[in-house]
Amino acid sequence: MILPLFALLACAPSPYTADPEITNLVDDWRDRVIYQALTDRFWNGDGSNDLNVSRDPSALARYQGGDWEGLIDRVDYLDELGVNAIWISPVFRNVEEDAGVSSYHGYWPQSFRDTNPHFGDLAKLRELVDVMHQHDIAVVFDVVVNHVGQLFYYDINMNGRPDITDYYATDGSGGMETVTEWDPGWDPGGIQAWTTLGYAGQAPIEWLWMPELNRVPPEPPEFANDAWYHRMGRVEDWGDFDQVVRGDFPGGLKDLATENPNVRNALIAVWSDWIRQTDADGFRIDTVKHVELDFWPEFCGAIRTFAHGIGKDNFLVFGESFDGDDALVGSYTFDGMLDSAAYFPQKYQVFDDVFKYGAATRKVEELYAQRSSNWGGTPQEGGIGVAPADLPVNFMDNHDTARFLFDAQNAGLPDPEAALRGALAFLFTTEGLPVLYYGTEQGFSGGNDPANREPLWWSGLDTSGELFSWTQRLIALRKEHTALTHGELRFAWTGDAAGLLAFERDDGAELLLVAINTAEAPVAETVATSFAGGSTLMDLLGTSRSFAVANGGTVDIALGAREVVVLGE
Amino acid sequence: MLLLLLVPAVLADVSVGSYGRVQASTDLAGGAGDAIDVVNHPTRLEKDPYLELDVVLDRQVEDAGLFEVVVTPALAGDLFHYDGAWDADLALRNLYAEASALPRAPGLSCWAGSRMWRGDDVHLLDFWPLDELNVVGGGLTFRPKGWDFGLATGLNRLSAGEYQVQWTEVPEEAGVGSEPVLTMDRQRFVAGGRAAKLWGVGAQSTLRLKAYGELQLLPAATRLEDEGEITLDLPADRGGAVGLQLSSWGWAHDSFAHLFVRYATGLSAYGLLTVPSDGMATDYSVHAAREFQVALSGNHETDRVGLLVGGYLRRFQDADGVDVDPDDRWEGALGLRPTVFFTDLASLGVEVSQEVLRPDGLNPRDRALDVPMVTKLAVLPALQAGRGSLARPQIRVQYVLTYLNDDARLWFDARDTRSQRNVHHFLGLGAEWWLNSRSYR
Repeated sequence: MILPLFALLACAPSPYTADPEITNLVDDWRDRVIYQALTDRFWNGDGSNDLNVSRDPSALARYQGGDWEGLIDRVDYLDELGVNAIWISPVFRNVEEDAGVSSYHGYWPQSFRDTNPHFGDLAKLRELVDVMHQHDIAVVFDVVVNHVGQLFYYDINMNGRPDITDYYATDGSGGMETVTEWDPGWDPGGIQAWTTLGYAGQAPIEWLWMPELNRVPPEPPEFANDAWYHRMGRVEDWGDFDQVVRGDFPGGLKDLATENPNVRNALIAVWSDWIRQTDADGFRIDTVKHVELDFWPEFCGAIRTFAHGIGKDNFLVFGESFDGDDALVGSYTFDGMLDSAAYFPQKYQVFDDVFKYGAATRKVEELYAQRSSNWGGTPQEGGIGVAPADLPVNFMDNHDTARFLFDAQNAGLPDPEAALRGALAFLFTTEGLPVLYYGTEQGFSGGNDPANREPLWWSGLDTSGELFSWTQRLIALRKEHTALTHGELRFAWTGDAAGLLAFERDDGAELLLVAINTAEAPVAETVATSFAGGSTLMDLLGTSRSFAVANGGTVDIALGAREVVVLGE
Repeated sequence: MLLLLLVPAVLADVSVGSYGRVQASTDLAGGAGDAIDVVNHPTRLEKDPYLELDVVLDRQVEDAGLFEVVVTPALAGDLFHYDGAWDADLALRNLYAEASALPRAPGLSCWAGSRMWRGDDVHLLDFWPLDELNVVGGGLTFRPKGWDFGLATGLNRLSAGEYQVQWTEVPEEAGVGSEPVLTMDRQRFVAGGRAAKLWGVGAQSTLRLKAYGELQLLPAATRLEDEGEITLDLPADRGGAVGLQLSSWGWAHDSFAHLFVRYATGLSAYGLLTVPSDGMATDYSVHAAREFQVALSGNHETDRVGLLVGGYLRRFQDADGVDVDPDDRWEGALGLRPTVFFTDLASLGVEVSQEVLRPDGLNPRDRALDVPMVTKLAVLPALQAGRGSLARPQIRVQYVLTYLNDDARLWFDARDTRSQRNVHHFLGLGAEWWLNSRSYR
């Protein structure tokens, strides 16, 4: 061509402009500690993507400025804390705003193929994954398959525009009924077109064209297909499983017809592509219980097959079934489905009831006893090599729940942070895959969404605080002792009231005894253990306490209020 | 109004000048001809209508110098006869007075006011690659024999983007309703200077080496956000540029050659009339931005043929520190316009040009590292006032064939007509002139 000078332009591009080399960072997910970071709230590393960012720190329902560059810039904080996996907010492009609330959380997909411009572009995402890998931190993406954002409305009165209108009710009562075409309530026959004169068949849907809010038809374009959506209206009865599965999620999130083979294939394609494009190490899947059960073997199997096919083994797929019913949560872990599930039953029955509200420590043992039957007992084929029942995803709070300290403070506990320290000790010593919600280590105490989504920079990412040090010590302990990650768990003591919770972790090479006092008063119990009589147990958490093992293996455990010890020989 | 016109006529000599361009165009598919470009400084053929009117009032004071007042209103935008809208974008570009030929200071002149203070351009690209300060301020020029020194300083306060100025509505103190108050005010200070040495080469040619330097300063300020509930501290910022220009001219009619090199940082990398809207650092500063560019411009002609050349290559990195960033880029353009002069009135030119853009980041449309390229071939039969590539006024037909590579098509939204095919046409009938213009000579 006429511009030989422009040969300069062909200079080597950044490695992040091309598909990454696929790596296998994770040998065994049991060795990992996941840090759940809301991308928008961790650290603002790039001012150029501060689009529609609120400068008001109290406006937590709007973008605050965090981004992938921020995670890259402050990977030192993750290193210092000791976590070795990170779960980031959904990476795809969202509807920008709905009802005055922004999509900073990432769960309102508009494009399944484009990155969220508030967080960065594809190259930056690749860089994030690569940098995390360099620091031995696995990266888990947050996946949505259940819905898209507020991208269409039901044109109930067929006037071609979205209305919120009062009509005479169809029940003949003569009363008025308010109908919103943005988010109408569940109709078992599908949302119907109607006016005061009566019904007029299935309501057409109208795709929105509001580019200023990114409310435009979904991407890839095949998702802009009316038949790919259930069009049943919003879930109104959470006890009705049909509504839960086929209804729109409140907020106008339009439910994908995931039983449709074309929808399934399209979702498998877009989510497989994210692995290829980024070298991600796992998926956390949103709203699992809102998708029909038989979706999961097909989706999870295809994802595993794809990952394996490009050289990515041990690709983790776990999901969120926001429910306290252990049988329901565990039901998604059988027969080729999820590798694991977020352990909501434990969040409610253990972290809430036992650690905050003084319930009997026996609840822990009773809950754990259910898992062998409620959760899958064999590893998924082509999965991570660990049975779901042996690797529940443990957490005490997350972005959808009030923080532990918020509840603990409201419960009137005399020392909420002491309760949190005990809960953290349990999180990092029990069996499973621990997830630490960002900011817990900083003593954040926000209430329900969005108050529980505080910017981490409020803390200055301080690493000198007592809670940070405690968390750091527990994570280090977990990583140093395979008994805590791979060992069998045996309860040594649970009671009918708040008080001592003691359990052993035994991997054959090492035996540890974890003892936690969940009560506000000292406890003293004689605990039967597997240790040999005559030995002395030291507290591995660095206190000077030691405990003698009596003949017969019993140990007298006396702990102060909310005290924790992790004992080993 | 009549008085205003008469007074200067009585007291001073009045001269007028103008630069302008206008054309009607079609894309040969029923639509308007459109400039399809991927770089900041493409060739000028398809530019929109623009007019500058220079009014210069001279007053020669015997033994006390020459005083000039220069007034240049400029108009842009679609013409009334085209869009039927009775409007235009009006700006007052030059509005200054200059004193020269001062006693006991030969070669010295000074000026104050609003002025387009700029050096040589790349004519084919309508681009001033080294020194273009459009400021309200003042300056000095000193031209001892064989030298040329110039200094310009000034201020601006750009209204866009609440970057330098912010007005906020507040309750009206003594009534009902609201009134605007100035809640942020930070002027940008700019100073630029040149020093040039000229050598005679042979009987008619001149060689010139020019050095240029520029400084921009912006004070810190506080901006109100969220209806005044939040304050955002904007730090003080800065920028600077240095550059060299090597020029020669005079060896043939209207012939010249310029080679420019410029390195700029911070505010100067964005330009004097630009508000940095993205690519800022996290503290909203831009002093980390960098720009490097080289450019060339030249013309050589004989009685029968001429060749105009213009091109530039630019490297730009914004201030956000992101490495793989589509805002950071290499870009360049090169144009060649050979022209045959049939008579003193008739000419036929052909222009070939190419634009290349290589962003450092991915194009989100295809998630690839694209290199958009636009290649143009234009045919320019013209009637003009005299022989030469730069003879004006010129009435011309211009046909431009534009070819976009696939990456260039992806640079535009899929719904944009520019993205929908590789080949585009532009057929225009128009005119361009500069007559006694202060901006285009």
